[in-house]
Amino acid sequence: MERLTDIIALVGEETVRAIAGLIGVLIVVVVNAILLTWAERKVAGHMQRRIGPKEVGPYGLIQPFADTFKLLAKELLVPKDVAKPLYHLAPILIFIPVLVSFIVIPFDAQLQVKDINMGILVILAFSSLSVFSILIAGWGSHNKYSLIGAVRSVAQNIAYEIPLLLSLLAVIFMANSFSLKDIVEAQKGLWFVFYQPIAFLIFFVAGVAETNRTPFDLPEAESELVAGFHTEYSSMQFALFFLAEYTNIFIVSAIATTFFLGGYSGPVLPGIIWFFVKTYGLVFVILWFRWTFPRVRFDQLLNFSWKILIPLSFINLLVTGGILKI
Amino acid sequence: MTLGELIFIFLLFVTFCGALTTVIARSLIYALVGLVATMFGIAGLYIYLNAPFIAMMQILIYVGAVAILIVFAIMLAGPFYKKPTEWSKVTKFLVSLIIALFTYLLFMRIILHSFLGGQDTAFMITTKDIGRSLFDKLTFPFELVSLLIVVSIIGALMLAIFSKDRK
Amino acid sequence: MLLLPELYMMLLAIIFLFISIGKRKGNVVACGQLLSILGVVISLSSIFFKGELFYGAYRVDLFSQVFKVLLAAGYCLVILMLGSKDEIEHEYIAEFYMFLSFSTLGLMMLVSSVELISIVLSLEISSYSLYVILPLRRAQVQVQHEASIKYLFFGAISSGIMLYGMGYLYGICHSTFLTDIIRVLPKFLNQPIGILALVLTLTGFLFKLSLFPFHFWSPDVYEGASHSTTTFIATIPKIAAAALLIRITSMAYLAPPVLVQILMVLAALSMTFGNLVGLVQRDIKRLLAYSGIAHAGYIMMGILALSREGNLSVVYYITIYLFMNLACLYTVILLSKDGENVTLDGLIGLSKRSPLLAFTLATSAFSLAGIPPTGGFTGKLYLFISAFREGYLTIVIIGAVNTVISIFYYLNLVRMSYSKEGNSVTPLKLSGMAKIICLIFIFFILAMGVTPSSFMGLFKHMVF
Repeated sequence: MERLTDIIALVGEETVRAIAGLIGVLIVVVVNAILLTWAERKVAGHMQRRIGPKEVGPYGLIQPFADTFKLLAKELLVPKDVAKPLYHLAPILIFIPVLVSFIVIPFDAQLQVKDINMGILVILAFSSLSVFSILIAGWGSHNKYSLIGAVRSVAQNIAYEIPLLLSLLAVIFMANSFSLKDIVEAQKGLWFVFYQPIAFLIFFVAGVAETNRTPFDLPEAESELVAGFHTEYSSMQFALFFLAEYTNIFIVSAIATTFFLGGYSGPVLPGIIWFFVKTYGLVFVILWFRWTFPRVRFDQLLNFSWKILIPLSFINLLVTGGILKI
Repeated sequence: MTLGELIFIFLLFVTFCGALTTVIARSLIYALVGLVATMFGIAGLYIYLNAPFIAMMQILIYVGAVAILIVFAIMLAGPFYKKPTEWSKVTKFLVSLIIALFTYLLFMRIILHSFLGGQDTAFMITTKDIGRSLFDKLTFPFELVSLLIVVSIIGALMLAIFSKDRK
Repeated sequence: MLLLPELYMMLLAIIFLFISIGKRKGNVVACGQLLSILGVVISLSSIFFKGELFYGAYRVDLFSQVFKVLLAAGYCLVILMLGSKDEIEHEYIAEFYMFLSFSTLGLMMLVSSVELISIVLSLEISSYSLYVILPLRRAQVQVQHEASIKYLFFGAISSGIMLYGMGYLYGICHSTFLTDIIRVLPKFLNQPIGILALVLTLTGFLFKLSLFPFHFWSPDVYEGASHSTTTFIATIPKIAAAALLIRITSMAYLAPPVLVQILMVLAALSMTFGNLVGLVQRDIKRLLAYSGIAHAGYIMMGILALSREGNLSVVYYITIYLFMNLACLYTVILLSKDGENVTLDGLIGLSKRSPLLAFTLATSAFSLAGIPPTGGFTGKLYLFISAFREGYLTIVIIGAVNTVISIFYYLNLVRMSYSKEGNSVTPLKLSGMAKIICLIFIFFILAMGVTPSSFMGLFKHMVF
């Protein structure tokens, strides 16, 4: 114990916090991805009246590890005509926003890498980078399916980022802060989902669209585009995209939890358990969506955002602002 | 050299390389990647200058909105287009180099020969201050922005209508 | 009620917006003419308003109100001139009017703004509207697109440079309000950074004025844009640009000679370049573009005097420039049959076809050349005197030489329309409205030449 304090004194508290945070974040990312690949199969199986994976380990729990080893052991195939720098940059780039977002998410009252006073802006700002990396992945692959997937992804992201921002803004109005911790603290009385049901719905729908999940999974619609923007990726690079996608689902749910469901606050149990219970509850809903809704058509997708969600979120914002002022 | 200085130099390097890529890249997508790098570098410089809000806005607006819109335009215009090389001629390159150096020296001279007041103390502007001044002293420009946006939206719509009719 | 002219302009824009959205587009032209005349009346009625708004960011005083009257008059004349001959497609006429109104609105706010961000934004409002209406032209295929792209790019770059300069201004003065800047700036004016900031800030307005290094857009835009757009771009933004140049340079009355030298070089180059290239032009609109570049040089003579007299002469000259330039362009509008450009040969036999129009052209050409008894002569005289008083003899001599050069091509216009006999002498019927507009132009050009004191009496109270 003494040595630990010595080390902390030597390199400074901030550095230790940063390193510990990074390690913690990586653990969460990996564990989450492992859990979600398993959960997705299980949920899918049970919804289709199957059992899902069961051979490898009890209830198929070891299955994700087997998959990981398979991916790691495979050869890294690089197609002939790809734009090399972009092709290799994309999987790395898609991971940055994921890691940055975890910095500001409060898992518990004390468990947060750093409480930045504009936390949500950090998440939103960096999330734009994931669109960008999808784009260069699609373009760099030199494949028409990838490219179409990427273009769709951009159109979708432009359309859904606006209602996403606006719905969060309504909560920020009420909490009077950009800091995620302050927002959680502001929900000590009643969760914001009860004050802002419309904002919650808008955020959740837009969030599902931002993570390219069904019914908004047009960028990777397997029946039309093979696998969309990551068609040409193999092995570990493919795994990175996969990891990023599952982590994004987690982040969207975590933000929704923090903003609308009171974050880590809850009775009896410690905050971190409440946080994960709520988050994974939302994750389950997102997985549920996949086997409930058919994929929308592209024009429906865009019309839904521009003609319904955006005006609705503007009205919601206006009403919120008006009520708060009075 | 302290860590802060190292980070500063790194940010300058990112900004500079990004800007250079933007200018000399032959493919539009590479130019765009350079632009995004530049924006990130500038955002980093803002953080270095104690203005995190502006840094976040820089990323949110320029990377999240502007760059993505540019991408969209590039994609619609045809992604495999390569612009003809402008650097084939040595003379052209030399002339650009000379102009760049001249401008650089000029600005160095101007800045080195000026006394910019003794404001070394770092000051922090919070988001609250920005909001206050926007709705307090700068009300008029703030309102003007809305008019500007209205004009540009109507203008964009009109241009779209004009070009539709011409086809 | 201090904002009456601006509010009215905004109302106009909204009215035209609704007309353009609506199904029935009855008589937009008549409606526009009536409303724009009312606009002049309203700005005239608000000429003696005084006050400050928005924490001092917006100043309404005689200076700004007189310029607003000029802007409203220019706007009204442009719309009246468009009236009969429309080379804008008819279904877009309401949109065209709307953007003209927005542009004028931006310029009106520009002359009243005394805060850097407002200045930039109002300038941009005006420019954005112009970017949109530039490609609107019937009977042409390519030129208007080239013109609009050029205007857009040059405009964007000049705004960028201006913002860069304003960044320095803000950096050294820690305020965007001109009242604060004027207090701090003199300390920095004998340093390179102060001069750099000031000159870069002026760039945006020099671009609008099409002074020499920022003139590249003007010939192509004049040639490519439709006649009505050209008349607007050629005159009205220049008025506001001159107003802002006066506002900003009045912060630098105590500037060291280097600032004056910079402006002097620009003015001299602009005059010489404009006039020499103007000599060989055949297309009248192109010719007027080069003449505009030359006139920007003349106007800079008043600015670089950095004195009250100089500013006064600039105001006088920009007023007369509005009328003479519009008169010249009006000839082009009336002469072109289907909206195509008119060359010098197109003027042949004009005196036979329409004596009144020929006389209008002659008056404006004399005035542009600076020959008494027209207003152009008096205005130029004021400019030369103000520069001379401050001891800038060189620029006065260059200006005088340039005036002599320019006489050649201005009088060429008159020669073509009067002395050459054309083959086909089809009389050009002028409508009643056109005759009245011609008479208005002739009246103002001559009146400002003969009795300058009546106008100077008003202007004297406005400049600082």
